[in-house]
Amino acid sequence: MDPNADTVVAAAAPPAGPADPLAPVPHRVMGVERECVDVVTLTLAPTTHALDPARPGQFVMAWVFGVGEIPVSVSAVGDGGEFGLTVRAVGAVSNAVVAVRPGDTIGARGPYGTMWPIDEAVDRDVLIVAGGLGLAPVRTAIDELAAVEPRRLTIVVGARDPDQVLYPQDLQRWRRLGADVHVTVDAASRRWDGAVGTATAVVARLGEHHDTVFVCGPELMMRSAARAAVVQGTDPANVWVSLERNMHCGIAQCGRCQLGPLLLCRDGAVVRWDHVTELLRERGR
Amino acid sequence: MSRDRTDAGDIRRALGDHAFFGGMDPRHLDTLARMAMWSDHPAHSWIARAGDLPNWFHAVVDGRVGIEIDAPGRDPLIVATLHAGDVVGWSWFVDRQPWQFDVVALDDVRTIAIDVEDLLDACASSEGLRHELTTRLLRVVASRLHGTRLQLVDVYGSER
Repeated sequence: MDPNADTVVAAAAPPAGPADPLAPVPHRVMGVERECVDVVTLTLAPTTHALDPARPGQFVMAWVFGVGEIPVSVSAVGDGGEFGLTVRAVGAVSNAVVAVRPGDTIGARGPYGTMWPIDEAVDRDVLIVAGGLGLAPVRTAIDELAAVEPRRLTIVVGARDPDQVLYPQDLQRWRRLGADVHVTVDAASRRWDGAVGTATAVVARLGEHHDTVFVCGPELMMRSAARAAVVQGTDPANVWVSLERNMHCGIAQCGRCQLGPLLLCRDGAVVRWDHVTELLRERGR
Repeated sequence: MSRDRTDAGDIRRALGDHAFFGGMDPRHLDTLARMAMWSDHPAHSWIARAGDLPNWFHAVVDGRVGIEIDAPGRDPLIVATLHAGDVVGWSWFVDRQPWQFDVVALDDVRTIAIDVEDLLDACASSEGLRHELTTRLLRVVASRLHGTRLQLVDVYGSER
């Protein structure tokens, strides 16, 4: 999600009462894992009642009391209502999220939004293209798809440099499970043993048709990779992207995340490429 | 680097299988095969150096090739890797400019090396071959320009 959509709010207590759809549920920070210099993954556990488990691609609103809240895609789902959030420090709230320590409490509400169409994809030849922090929203989708036999799963991961590649242990694990994993970065020293270039270039070099394609990352990268997948023969109706706008309420009430007829907190973040291709051509949206 | 011209038939087949040359008129592939040889480059060896005139047009068959920039005050930086199915360099085709960047074998690399002088001579006498190469090299240029533009805007650096 878009942590830069930080909504700085007054340092007031959050609204109380389980009936309030905007009321965050307190969660204890169980673990903080630093992924790279400005990115951490938090493991959160509910202190009162658990949120519904997030399906792959869904997000929650994470609230740092007294600072504000941001939309964050769920990057892991555990038992007992535990879940993981991977956050990059770029704004006031996300910096506060990244600064939390185990034992701290933050609020969360959700999960919100649409999900990657795992059920449709499960028996098909799937390509997942994830750039930068975009690996977080597809992480649980990959886990589900990688667990299915027969496995026809290709993963292309792009990052700015080798130090910014997320979840290196997951990449190894997905390889061991039989996924074809390609990692590429924008620039590197000779110590890097992967590719250098864009994720789109990897998709083009693979030159393979895939039945279903999930793309997640910076919008420029998604547009380029989605087009490349279509050029390789994937039906645009089977290409899915995760779009970010200024998610604020999470319940399709405030309209800040509008993209044409869509309210992305409800109708997204995961959307079909052919449903948004024209919307994204319009400048300023 | 070692070069081997011994198996012309093998090279002809490899050219036909190579993504860059795939679908090319068999007569042109025959022509190219006659001016080509296998070229093996151990890991970390130079394939070309910035400033040198290009004598060989390399089609990568195996291994990773790095396009490397050596700027003062910083470690050399790989800005692109080339893989099986890619070709190394294209500006030789326009006016035979010197290599702009260093080209290094990141793994043990095998290429099909085509003699640039012979190739340019062949293009001068065959409009068909010149057209085939122009079209294919333009595809390479367009693809690399597209990638370079995306890298230039630093999509991940501005990621929020």
